[in-house]
Amino acid sequence: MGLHADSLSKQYGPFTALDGVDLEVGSGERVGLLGPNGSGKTTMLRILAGLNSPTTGEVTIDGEQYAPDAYGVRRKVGYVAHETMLYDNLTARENLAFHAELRGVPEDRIDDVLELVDLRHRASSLPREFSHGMKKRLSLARAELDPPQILLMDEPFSGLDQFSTETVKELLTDRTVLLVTHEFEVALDVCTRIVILDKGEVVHDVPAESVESLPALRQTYREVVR
Amino acid sequence: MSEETAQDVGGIEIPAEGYGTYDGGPFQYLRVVWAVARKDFILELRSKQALPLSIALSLLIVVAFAFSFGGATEGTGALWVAFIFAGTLGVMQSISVETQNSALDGMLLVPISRSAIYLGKVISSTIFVTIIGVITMGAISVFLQATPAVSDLATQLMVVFLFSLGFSAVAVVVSIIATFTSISALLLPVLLVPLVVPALLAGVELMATGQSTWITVLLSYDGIMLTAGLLVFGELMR
Repeated sequence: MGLHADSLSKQYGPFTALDGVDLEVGSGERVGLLGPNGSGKTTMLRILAGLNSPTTGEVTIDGEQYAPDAYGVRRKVGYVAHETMLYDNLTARENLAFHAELRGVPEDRIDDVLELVDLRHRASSLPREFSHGMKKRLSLARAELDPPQILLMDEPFSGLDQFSTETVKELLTDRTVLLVTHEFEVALDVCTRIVILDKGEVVHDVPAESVESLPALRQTYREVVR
Repeated sequence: MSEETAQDVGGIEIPAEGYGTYDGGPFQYLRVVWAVARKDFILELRSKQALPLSIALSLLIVVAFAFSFGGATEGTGALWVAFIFAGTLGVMQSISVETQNSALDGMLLVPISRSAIYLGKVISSTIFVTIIGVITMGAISVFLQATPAVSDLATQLMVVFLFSLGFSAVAVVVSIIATFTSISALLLPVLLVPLVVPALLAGVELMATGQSTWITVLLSYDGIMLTAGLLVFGELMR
């Protein structure tokens, strides 16, 4: 069981965002994707989430190809991005109710996910009234309406307060996760595997336990990123 | 965990098959269409941005016609000019809501048929543009003392609705394309107006003559544009 990205490439005109990336995320792995700005991390996540199509290559989930009408396969992947992907003029509950209705998820699941991210007391508030951390938690609640087998997250801990950070970390326990982060401490703390992307290529891929220390990871990063 | 559960997320057991039930069937497809359209209605009622602005624009255009020409012979021209540009503004506002916070991406992430999202947006846009058209007709009768040659109100409303449908079918696609550029406000009418010319001609002739041939033209236009939109939208979003 897992996600396989096979020779993924993405071209935007003359610019190569991804160049033949092979990546496998096995069941239960928490993969931290590091890399400088413009290395292709977000492009990678958007392709894996089905928001963009690769120029070449393919993505399979549990051996099944990821395609627009492969609803069963698409359900296995969830994505939490920088943006909340929610509407400022719908309350937290209404936003989740909308997404629940799209997915055919029962309404009583909404209270469960609000409880999960500790936002039940703010269910009637508008997202624009939320702090950054609360917006991130609400976005996570959206993704958890129909819990995906594989969770893709783009900078999930960026700008979060301590409470929100701990809430998100708890939800990543025993999950299959691919998360993009610029924070090496987070990568070592949360992830079981570290992948470094640079100029659209995987330049380093090791188990997190093999990384001796944070300074060692920083040193490796400096060496592999051109 | 029991055999029927697969995950324990945050202490809550979930069924192995998950919660989502969308399978692409017709009932669920229509449920998605309605959910998208209803969401747009709620957002517009709360924000009161697209419709009031568009109606204001259409009234201003009618008033401008009244000052510039004044005669009843210009009433038809005022109707369609106001209709098109106010309708464009309305659809543009409706789509801009989807670009805030990447809300459109949120819908595209959901494992559902993307054409259902398109159809929901077309339905809500059609309702908005029809309202704009009806109000514009009223404004023309007041400010220009003009009424369409086809005096039957039901026919007039039918023309407005059918034009709005074809207009929206094109406008939703073109608006989304335009949002990917930095000049969307300028680009949208430039792209859109030429594409709605066949519907415009049919609408003008229908209002003037009521000939059933033009109903066929308008219905055909709507059918072709809707079909094209349904086929293109999913790929466009990738």
